Amino acid sequence: MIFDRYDNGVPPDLLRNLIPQLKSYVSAADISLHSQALSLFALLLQLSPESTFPEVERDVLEEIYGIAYSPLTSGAALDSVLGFFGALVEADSQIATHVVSSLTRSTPERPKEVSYPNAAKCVAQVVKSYHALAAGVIAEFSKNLKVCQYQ
Amino acid sequence: VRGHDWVESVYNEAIARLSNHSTDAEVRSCAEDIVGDLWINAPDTVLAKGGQEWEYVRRTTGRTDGAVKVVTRVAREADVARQWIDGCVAWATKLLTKNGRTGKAEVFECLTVLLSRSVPSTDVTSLISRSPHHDFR
Repeated sequence: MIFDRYDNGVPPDLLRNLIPQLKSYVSAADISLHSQALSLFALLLQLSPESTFPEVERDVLEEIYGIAYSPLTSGAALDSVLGFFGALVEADSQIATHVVSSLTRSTPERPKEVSYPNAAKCVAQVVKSYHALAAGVIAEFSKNLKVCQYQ
Repeated sequence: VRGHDWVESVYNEAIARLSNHSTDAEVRSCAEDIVGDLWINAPDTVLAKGGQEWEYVRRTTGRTDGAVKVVTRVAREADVARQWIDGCVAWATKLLTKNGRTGKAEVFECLTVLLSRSVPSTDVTSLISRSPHHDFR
């Protein structure tokens, strides 16, 4: 049965119908359902990276940054966001730098409603999935660390 | 379950209930469960039927929660062909277009199970190379 499954990707006609439906569930309105939708996007990015990636990058990614920032995103919902970013970067590593800069440079309209720990975890996930980025990200972020001396 | 005449009879009775629009909802739900049981436990008998039962189970109108559970269970436990998975993914996608939140979580779970079956969890070549009997010289 190993050869009878989607080893060569999900059929294009199924993706054409499925992706638009999943997109409609990616919003902060229903955390449970968007979490499941993101997990499915992650799965599709693994199975059919070439077909899924462009659609996700064009139509879904901006919305997901907002979800990642949200303090309401925690637990299983945050896990699905992390899984999504991991799959996205593994589908096309060239987007890794762009994702890190978007996660760290974007300034949401209401800074108090931003979960910086969430953003940090997402950056960490991107680096986990694309190790070549590690040195640069560590160098950049370590600039913000202050050394305190305790006596 | 093999070589029992009753399997054929149970299958036929389940099909008769599923194909009848006036079948009571509870009876229909039991018939859907039976189709799932037969696919998991008597695959030789049902595979020879050509899959007609799924045309009745995978409806997009009326109550679909029982059908979603059966498809999820069969996808998880039975040996199914890619064509069957394709049909179920297309059906579940249609269910996502229905209004309201009810049952959507189960549809997502169903899709996840269907698509996960396709994940090449372990590369075949790595399986071969890890085998203690591997020697292609």
